[in-house]
Amino acid sequence: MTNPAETLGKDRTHSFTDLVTTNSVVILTGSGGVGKTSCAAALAIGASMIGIDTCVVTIDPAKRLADALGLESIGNDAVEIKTFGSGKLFAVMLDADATFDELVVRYANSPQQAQNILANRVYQNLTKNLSGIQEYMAMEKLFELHTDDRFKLLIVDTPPSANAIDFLDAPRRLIGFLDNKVFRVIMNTGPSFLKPVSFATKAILKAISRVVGSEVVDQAVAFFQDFEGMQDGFRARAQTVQALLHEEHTAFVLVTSPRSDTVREAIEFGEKLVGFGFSISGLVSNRETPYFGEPASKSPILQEIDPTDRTMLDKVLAEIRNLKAHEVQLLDNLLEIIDPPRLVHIPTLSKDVANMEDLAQMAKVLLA
Amino acid sequence: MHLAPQGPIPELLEKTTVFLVAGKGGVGKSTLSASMAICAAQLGRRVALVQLSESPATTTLATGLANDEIEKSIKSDQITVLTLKPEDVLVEYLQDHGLSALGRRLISSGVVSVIATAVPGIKELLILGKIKQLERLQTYDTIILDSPASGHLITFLSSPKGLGDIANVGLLRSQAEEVTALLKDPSRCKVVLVTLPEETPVEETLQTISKIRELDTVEIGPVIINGVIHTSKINNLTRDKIGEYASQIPEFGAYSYVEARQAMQIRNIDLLRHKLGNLSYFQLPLIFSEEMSYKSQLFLAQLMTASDQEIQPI
Repeated sequence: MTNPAETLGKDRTHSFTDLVTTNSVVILTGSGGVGKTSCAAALAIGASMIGIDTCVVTIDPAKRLADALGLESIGNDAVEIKTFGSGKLFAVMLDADATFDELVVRYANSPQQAQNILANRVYQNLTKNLSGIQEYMAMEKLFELHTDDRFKLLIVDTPPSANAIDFLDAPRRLIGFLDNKVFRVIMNTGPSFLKPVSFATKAILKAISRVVGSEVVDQAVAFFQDFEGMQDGFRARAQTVQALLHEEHTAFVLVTSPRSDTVREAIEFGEKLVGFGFSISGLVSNRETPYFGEPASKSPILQEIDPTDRTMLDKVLAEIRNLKAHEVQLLDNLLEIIDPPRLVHIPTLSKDVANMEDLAQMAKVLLA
Repeated sequence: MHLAPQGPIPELLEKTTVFLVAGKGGVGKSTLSASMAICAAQLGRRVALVQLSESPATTTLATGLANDEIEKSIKSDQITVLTLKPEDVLVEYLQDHGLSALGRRLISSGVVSVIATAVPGIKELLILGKIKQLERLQTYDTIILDSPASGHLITFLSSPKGLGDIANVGLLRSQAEEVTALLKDPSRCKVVLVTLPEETPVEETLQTISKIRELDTVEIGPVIINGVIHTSKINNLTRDKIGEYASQIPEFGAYSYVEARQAMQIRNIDLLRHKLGNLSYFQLPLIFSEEMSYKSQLFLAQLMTASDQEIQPI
């Protein structure tokens, strides 16, 4: 009995083994709730099992996943995890705030400047409120780890965001924010009042003060004053990070599950990724309904079953088969648009991922 | 024919006007928001279904209502779908306060982005302010906000307090106070949490509940456990056969699979129930249909009004 999903894209590779052996960075993307974090952990375990020293960067993993990895907690620095593979395995949990703080300290011209920025309310809210910052910090962390020679492969789980493309656009947004023209004008005129402040700028400031109070405006101005001189460092860094994404040995894997909403998002995401000049190296179709085959209506074993039970069993199989057929259709539509060179199917597990063995099981499917 | 109010949702609709429907991505929040809207409309209410961005579930609902062949009890104008984009709401707010010429300019110059960062929750506050305004107009009997994912919900709920503390002079202060009053009054507003009987969503729901309790700004309504699998009882003889031949007979294999998933769900539901304390909850079944259609939205709406939690076995 052939799983109809597996006849889809039969020209494709159904394993990520060559993907992890030939790349140095693998980024897993996709919408929330598709099992991206588990896939990232499983892929990292799999890679370490075949002898590649690997580090997995996760974002806010479920507590049980940290438990599954045998960790009390994962921090912003890479910690080694005991595995039974021949390669080493490290894990990092992204702390966006701490990562940004480290960046500020690195690019500040003096300890005083760093201290001022870290204490500013605008700055403190930046990681939580500027959209794409979490994503940008994930990229930043990736860049930092990229130069760490304890491992050869980085597997990155991207943050769940309403708009999964946010992280690609994040460096541009951060730079745009830091380069804000209005505030730069205000700043330059601040100390001397000699330079003419344009009427528009004054009006804008006045309007904001009326709405939010002048204190907030002062804080914002202070932030830009404190940040002065650091924009260039940040801009250069953002460009380098961006370049890493475009490197030959950076690969993108799209994780999805065959449900109409997630497939719709995957299609949208795939198209945007291509629009940004990236290509999708692999697709994981996670949480697929298993295929159970054609009804065995004539089987003598079934004939003996109690008629009420029999009716129910027939119905259950019919429902599951229907669902499966729909999933195959959805996946087929997705493959027509995304057309990845590698495709891995992972069936729905009948239990939650609870330990290293479960992840290793998943790894076997990913690196078949 | 209007259904008599009897189940958990009708009672809720009687008592409260505004519902913030929240939950992790992928748990069916938008679909259940649509079903709640249908439920309210079936009870003769005028409903505003508010979303922050276009969602397929709402489109399904709107299309379904327009070409309704099944449910004749809802008049097409009974459910109004409103999309509130934060930036538009901000511009409208500025216009209402005599800053019309500046609205768009503030946005295009990026100043808004700086201010929104300096004043966390400003966009959220303005959305809630808009909801409060809708409630005050009394054009709608029920207002359902299909809220963003639960992490963001906390930003929403803490926005009035945070802003009240920061903006001690500006126009925002009074806005913050009015929104706080709305959230605080359970006869005006409640949060409805949607979850799935799976590990991560249950964990996140419990976290959200404890954060909301910590904030103490809004009452939590029922927790809806969506996508619950129910299997009918089978006799022992059948069970033995299934155990023996699960790998050979597809009918048995499918049943074992569904049953194993159900067992996993039960563990998660028990964990959730145990931790919910006195919070009410109810379950909605997994719909094995191909697409979340208007028909499934109607079906779920019907279950929301059912007097006991009669869940049809698959």
